[in-house]
Amino acid sequence: MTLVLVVAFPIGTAIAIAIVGGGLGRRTLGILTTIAMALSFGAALSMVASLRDRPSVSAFVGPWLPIPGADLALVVDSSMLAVTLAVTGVAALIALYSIDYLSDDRGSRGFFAAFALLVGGTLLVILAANLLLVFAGWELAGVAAYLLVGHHRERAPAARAAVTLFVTERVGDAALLSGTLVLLSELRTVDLAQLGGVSIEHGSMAGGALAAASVLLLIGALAKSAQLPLHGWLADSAEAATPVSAVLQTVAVTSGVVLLMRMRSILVPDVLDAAAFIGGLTAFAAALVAIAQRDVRRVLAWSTISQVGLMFVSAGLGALFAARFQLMAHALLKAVLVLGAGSVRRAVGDESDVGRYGGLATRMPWTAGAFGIGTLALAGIPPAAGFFAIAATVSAAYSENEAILTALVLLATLASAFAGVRLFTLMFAAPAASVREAHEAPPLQDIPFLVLAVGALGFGAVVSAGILPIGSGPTDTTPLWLLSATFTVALAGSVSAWLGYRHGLARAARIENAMHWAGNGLGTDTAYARGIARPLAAVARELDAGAERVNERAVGSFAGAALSVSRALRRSLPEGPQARQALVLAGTLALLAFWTLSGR
Amino acid sequence: MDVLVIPLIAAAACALPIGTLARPLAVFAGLLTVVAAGVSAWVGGSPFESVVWAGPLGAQLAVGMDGMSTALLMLSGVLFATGAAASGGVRSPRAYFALWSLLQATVAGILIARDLILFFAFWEALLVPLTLLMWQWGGADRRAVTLRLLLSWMSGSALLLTGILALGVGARTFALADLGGYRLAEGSQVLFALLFLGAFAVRLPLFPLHAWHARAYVTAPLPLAIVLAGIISKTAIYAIARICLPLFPRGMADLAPYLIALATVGALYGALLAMRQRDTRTFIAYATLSQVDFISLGVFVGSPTGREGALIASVSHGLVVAMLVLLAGSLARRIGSFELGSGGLASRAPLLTTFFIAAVLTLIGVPGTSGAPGDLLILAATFARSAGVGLVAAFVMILSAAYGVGLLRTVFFGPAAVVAERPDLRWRERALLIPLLALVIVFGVAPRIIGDLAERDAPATAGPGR
Repeated sequence: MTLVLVVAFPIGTAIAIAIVGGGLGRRTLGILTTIAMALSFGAALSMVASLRDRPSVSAFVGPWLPIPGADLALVVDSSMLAVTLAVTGVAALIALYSIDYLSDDRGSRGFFAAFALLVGGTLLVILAANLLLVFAGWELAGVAAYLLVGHHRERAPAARAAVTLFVTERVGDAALLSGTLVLLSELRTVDLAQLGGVSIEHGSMAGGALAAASVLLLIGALAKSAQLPLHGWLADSAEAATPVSAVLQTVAVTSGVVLLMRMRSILVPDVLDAAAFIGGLTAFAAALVAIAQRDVRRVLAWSTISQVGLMFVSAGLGALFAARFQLMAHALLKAVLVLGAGSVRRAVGDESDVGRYGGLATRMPWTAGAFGIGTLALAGIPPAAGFFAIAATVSAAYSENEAILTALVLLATLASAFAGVRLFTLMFAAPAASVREAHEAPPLQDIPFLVLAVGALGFGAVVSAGILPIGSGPTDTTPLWLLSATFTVALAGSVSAWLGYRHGLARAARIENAMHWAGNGLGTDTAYARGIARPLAAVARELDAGAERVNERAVGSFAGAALSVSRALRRSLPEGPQARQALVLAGTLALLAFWTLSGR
Repeated sequence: MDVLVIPLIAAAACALPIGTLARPLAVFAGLLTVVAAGVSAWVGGSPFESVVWAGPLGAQLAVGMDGMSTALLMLSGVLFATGAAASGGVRSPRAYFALWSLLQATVAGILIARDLILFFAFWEALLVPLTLLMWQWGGADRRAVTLRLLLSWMSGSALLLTGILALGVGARTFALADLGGYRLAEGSQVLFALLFLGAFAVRLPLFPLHAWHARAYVTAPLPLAIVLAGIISKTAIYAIARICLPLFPRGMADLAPYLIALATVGALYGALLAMRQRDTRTFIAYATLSQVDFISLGVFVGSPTGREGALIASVSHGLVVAMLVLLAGSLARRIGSFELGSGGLASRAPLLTTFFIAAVLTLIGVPGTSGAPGDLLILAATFARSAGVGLVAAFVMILSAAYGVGLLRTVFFGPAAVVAERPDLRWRERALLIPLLALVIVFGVAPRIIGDLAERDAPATAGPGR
């Protein structure tokens, strides 16, 4: 039953805050949420021991829908337990950070309810025993993300971003549900364990349907994890408040990767290859776009898209250890960076243009230190966690003889290191662009992200030494030259960014101009507006003006025709009451005769 | 039987000079119906009564309740009570609430009639209070809209009457219990199914027979819009599931591809048009068109899963439409019109915003609300029949998200609006919304409550005969 508690704490908190949260103070709400997340983390931690001697633990709560396998049931194995620990742990620290950050926010009740719901929904995706319950968690997390991004509703960009997010999420929801239902109609169950068994049994028999289901599930994962070409919502959601960005970029985006990891034995190989390739492409392209951004929040959002792409590479290749490792390392390091950037923005008066920062290292030393560690982890400089994760990904691609993928991952590492160090340099090391007062953030904000920074620094070594039981990967068999190459690439990206930007943005005009093309993302937003949104709106307009009017007029003319027929009939018929009665009688007799004859 | 008698007594009592007591009485009648239906379901063994009525014709006064009618009767009680409670300050209250209770009685009659002639009598009798309420208490353009509705519905009913008479004379009985055993020639089943569907599809309304629909929602008094969308359209779903499917299995199977196509197109069509509406009432009308066509899909695919989904979705849609119409009324009282697009209410009226978001999320079928399980089951049944149709139907999910959050954005998001002094919900408005929201959540978490009712549907085909 401990397993049920892991999910019940966040969801119960969300419900409790939604119902009775009005009477509680802002800080109380934050403390409550933090405690719930910590309890959920604790419950997950206590399961580590019970998974030592058996492969998985499951919990049955009750029946749910009258569909085979669709019960309220949870299951966990050691791989998903590791992800659970990362998600709940990071969520607890973000909640702790939010207590202080949101202490003057009038809508903090809605924030904490949606926050807990998002974590609860994501945990359902990780732990549900069947695909329909995964779908429920998936969509709940999407709704919570919508509510979180729409939290500052009075700001037009946030409201717009919320709509984009929800519609994209719904595309993913529809794809995931369709894939699930195709599997259900082919294999007669939605239970994940049974699906795995049955699909292996069937082999190529159910090939077509299985392939269709796999493609649909992949589309769902792409939308949820902001991968090409459904990545726009995450970049736009950078408009949201700092804790929202933090939880979206560490917790919410992982759902798609988790789905791929859990569905690994069911998806057809071609689709898995496609997932890896899309991930590699996204990782490289998004990292390039991150270099061209001037808004600190957008740099981080694009970098997240890129890093999740690396998870797709590993998950698609079947290197589950690498995917898991990257997921956990990224959750830690990205939480550090987003929360650190939030503290900085608050300290300098909500300025988010990287060109106007600079010289903050002396004014905010703790923040600078933690942010620096996060940057090293992102760039993949050992001993921070990022290096080990990237190395695991590279070696996965290499050992599968995927030359293109290996190249893409290395290029992504280069660009990602460049983008990360560029951001750090411009914020903390470059000469101050405009002199401003800036103070260190209050301790309640500093503590959580210092803890996260320590995690981001030490996590990789701990895992590699086999202390944390998240499984082991092929890192030991990676040829040394590949590890050195990875390190060299990461170092090259970092050093060139440092050299290029250490004198400030103004002195790096050449790099900025060269990267200018990527400033507005990858052009998908306008493509969707032109290719889908506008045609749909045009169709709706035409239907409204055309079909609806035609329909109304048709009914009108039908009524008119009926009236004129009736008038014509009355005129043509004999006058007088008796004649009409005779007519009615004749008609009735004819009908009766018809029935009597046809009844035989 | 008591579910029919209670509202009739309430209607008759309005003839007495009870003045302001009429509204509480109508609310009470609605709630009592819920209790009566609930008790008879809980006691088990549905009371199946029959009295010989017009013997020579073969018509009986046969009534009975199965799981589906019990669920819909309880929904009808909730909606009529809510609607009556929301009809504060109407002109000539006694006449209004007498007609209101009469309308409730005819809806109950449709749901319990186990004889085709009796069914038809209630099916038509419903038009009298409905059109009178619209004609007298409606908004702008009410005469023309009422006439249009009357014409559309009666054209369908003419077909239905022809079908009923032809079937009954052939089978020498009108009792549903006996007709269940009557084997209609397979060749003529399609014709009969079409005759019956003529009436049901107009009232649903199934695309493209919805010409009466959008304007009726604009014109009807708000409480009437609640029951029109919430329960009267569901009587058509009920009729298709309870009359067409068991009586013409072969005909419905032959027609299924076309009906499924119409329902799917209707669901998409309604969703597309809902995206364009600038008036909360037409928005609700087109969203309802989309939803009821989607629900009818569950019936047309012809599997038990689909029917169960249709029942759960019907109940959910009834509840959520009541919430939406109430909220649209509250909104209109505050900004002075039903027009959309003022924006910025979120910061001024947080509670109204919260309820509106909850209602929209239920409407578009988010898990945790009652909107999800029904939609899931309907989609599952559709996919089991044809993956292609299922994919098209799943596209409705995306469009519904677009119209749902689009509405929220135009009404609530954006810079703070200038509105009336106290823009948030009053206690009187909350008192109506909170029970509805509670039901929506309960059915969302435990859809089995409705599903179990649907599974006790034995009396529909087998029961005491004449």
